[in-house]
Amino acid sequence: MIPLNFYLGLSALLFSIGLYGVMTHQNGIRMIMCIELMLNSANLNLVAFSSYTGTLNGQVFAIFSIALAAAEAAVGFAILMAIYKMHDKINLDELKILRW
Amino acid sequence: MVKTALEELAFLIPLLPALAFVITFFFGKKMPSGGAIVPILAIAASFVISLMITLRLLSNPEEAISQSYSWFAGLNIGILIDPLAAVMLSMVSFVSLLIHIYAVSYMSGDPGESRYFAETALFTAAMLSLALSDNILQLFVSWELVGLCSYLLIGFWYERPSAAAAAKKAFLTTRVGDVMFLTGIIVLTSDLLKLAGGFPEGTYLLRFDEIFSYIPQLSALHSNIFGHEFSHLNIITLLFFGGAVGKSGQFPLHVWLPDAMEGPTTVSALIHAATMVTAGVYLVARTFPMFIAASDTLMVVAYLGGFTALFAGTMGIVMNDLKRVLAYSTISQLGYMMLGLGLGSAIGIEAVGVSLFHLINHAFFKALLFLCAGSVIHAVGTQDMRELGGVRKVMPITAVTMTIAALALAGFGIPGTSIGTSGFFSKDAIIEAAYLFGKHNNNWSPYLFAIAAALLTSIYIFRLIFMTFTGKPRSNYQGHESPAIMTIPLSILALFALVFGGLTKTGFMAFLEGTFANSFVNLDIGSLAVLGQNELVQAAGHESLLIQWLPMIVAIVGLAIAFLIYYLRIVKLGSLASMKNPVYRLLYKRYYQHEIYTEFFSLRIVYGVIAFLSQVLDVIIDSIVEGIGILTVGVSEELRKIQTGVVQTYATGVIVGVSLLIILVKLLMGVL
Amino acid sequence: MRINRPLAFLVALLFTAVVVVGVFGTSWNTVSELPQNPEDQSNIEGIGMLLFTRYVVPFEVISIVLLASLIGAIYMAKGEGNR
Repeated sequence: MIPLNFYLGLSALLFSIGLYGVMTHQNGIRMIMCIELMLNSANLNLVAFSSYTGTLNGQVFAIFSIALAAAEAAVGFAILMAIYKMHDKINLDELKILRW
Repeated sequence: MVKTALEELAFLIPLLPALAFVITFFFGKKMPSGGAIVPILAIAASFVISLMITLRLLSNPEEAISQSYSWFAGLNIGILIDPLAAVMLSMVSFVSLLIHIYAVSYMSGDPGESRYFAETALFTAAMLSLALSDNILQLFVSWELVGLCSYLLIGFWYERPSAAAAAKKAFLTTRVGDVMFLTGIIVLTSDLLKLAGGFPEGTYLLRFDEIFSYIPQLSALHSNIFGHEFSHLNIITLLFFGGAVGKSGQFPLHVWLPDAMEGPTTVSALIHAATMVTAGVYLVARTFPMFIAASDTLMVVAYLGGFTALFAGTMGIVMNDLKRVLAYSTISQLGYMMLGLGLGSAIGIEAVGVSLFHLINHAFFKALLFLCAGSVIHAVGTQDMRELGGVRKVMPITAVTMTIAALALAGFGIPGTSIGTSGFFSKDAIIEAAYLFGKHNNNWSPYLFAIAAALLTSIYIFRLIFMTFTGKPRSNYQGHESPAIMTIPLSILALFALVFGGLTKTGFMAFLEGTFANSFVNLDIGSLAVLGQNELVQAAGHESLLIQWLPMIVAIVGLAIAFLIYYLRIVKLGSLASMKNPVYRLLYKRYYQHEIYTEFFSLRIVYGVIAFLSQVLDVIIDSIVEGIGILTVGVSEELRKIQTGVVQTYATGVIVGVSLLIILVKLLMGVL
Repeated sequence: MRINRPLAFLVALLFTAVVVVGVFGTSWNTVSELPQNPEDQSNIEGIGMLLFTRYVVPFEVISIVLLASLIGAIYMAKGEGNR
């Protein structure tokens, strides 16, 4: 079977793709989608570990993680709606009042 | 019974005047005559106790009174009354008592009268405590306190700028000496700690018997300074002598004494004639075993003392102010006392007796001279001798007592007998010792200094007498004889100046020679002298008739010179005694010492250096402080920019930080 | 764009490198054979059993979290004064 390392390497790759997206895009929705990508890479990690050690705990955690990701995405989109109402665009680069 | 009772009372001797100081300071204004009665009673009590202790010591000189209490860290405060301290205590309290009585009339009407009596009471307390201290640290503390009282009393009329300046000069000049004294104590303490390996148990470091027991070991310690070998005992004793030079007004630290005449005349009589200035002589006498075991110090003492005696005498003959002449006379006589102590390198422990004898006698006649001068000034109103003349018709008692004092100062008496003024016996003893020294070491400088100074002494004191009391008045002054409360102390002092010397001559010196051979400390001065490479000779006492009569001859010659110039007015000085004569100008301007010391050295050099250095320091410290501020602000300006307010940068920062952390951990700790 | 693209690419690359190096350098304690379960090829029965016995408390809590976030999201998305 495929060694465990490759699964973990895949998950790291996915994570960094999501990270790249978060760092460069300025559109709010794109950022949330990339954050979802990062969360899913963590899920992949969990499931890989769980299957290669023969227990099912990791998969249960993965279910919890998916549920939490959904909740967080909902709240994130709600916040974006509020920002859109105020500024008429969701360019997150503009929100920098809390700077020096 | 009486013995132990007396010992219990010994601590009252300095304590009663100190209490008088406190009472007079707070309540003096409300009491009549400025509260003078309180110090007078206190000092009278101290005098009675000291006299009784002295009499008891006279009958059995072996038992010195010694009480010590632990103070801190191996040091103590305590009382030591041996023959040296006993005579000093008796003299100080007696003279102080008489001067206090005199001052009741002299200072009456002065608005600061209570302050005066408080300060003199404090001074007496400090001087008595100095005389009976049994360790060198307590002596130093009393020394400083005496200096403080001198400052306060010289600047008594502080609204006068000349008085304030004179007080400051006195304090600063004696401060130079005090710093040397303190350095000597520090060197001594560090050496003793090194030798004893820490504070010794059961005894007190710095008590005189402890110090003296370490003298042989101290003289073996040597230090190498700038390539020369110095014995520690030499260094310590020279530093102590430096302190004595400051306090007793020897050259070169004598400049404060003539200026100190700005204070009231009773202050000059008490402090600058009889008591404070003799503290330096007392110090050298008290630590005499250390001096005689140090190889060179006694020579320095003798030479400096002799030179000062001559030097001050040369300036005394041209002064026109009544009190200035007496001030220079005091410096000269203190030089005699130091010379007497310095001759101990030839005559051993007898030097202490000789010098102290002169100290006691000098106290009597010099205080008398100052008090008579005060009487004249008080009655006539001027101090300048050029305006006086013929005062004896107005103030006969003062004239008689002052003449007696002058005879005592010049040393009139018949050698070989017991007839003579007290000054004769004491000065003669010093001159005899100088002769012995010269014959033994073939070094005649001290003897020549002493004889020349005796000639000058006679000249200036009789010049003073003739100019003041005889002849016709040279200005219009109104004068009257002083009240009885002033003339009675004068008479008592005159009596002592006449007969004290003759009555107590041999007994006094023998009494003092037992200072270091009693129950407190028992030293063999001879062996210590060997340590200091001083050969001792016995006082032979049978020189040729010429040598015996020489001091008297010199005194008569001086009297004759003064008589011819100032009484009979036969020899006219004319242009010889005016500012056109360069020698006269040199002497009158006091060898330009004021210009050299104050103007050039203090103001230009020392003050200039200090001003320059403080400017440099200002610049340096300002730049450092400001630099720190600028640095901080600059760094924080740059660091502030991390807070961009944009979320992405924060996320980037987190990831970068975590990556670096993992790399660091892997590299440093080998985990992962 | 606040962070310029090359820099972001480098940071992502760095992170990947660190993790991959760490993962491929570790010896994982794994089973040699995946467990073959003839009845339940998809693990659902096992997950269900664990979910309702051992992890029932987090299960209930997460349902509350979901509920709370739904309510919050709806409220915020609707806006103020619009109810």
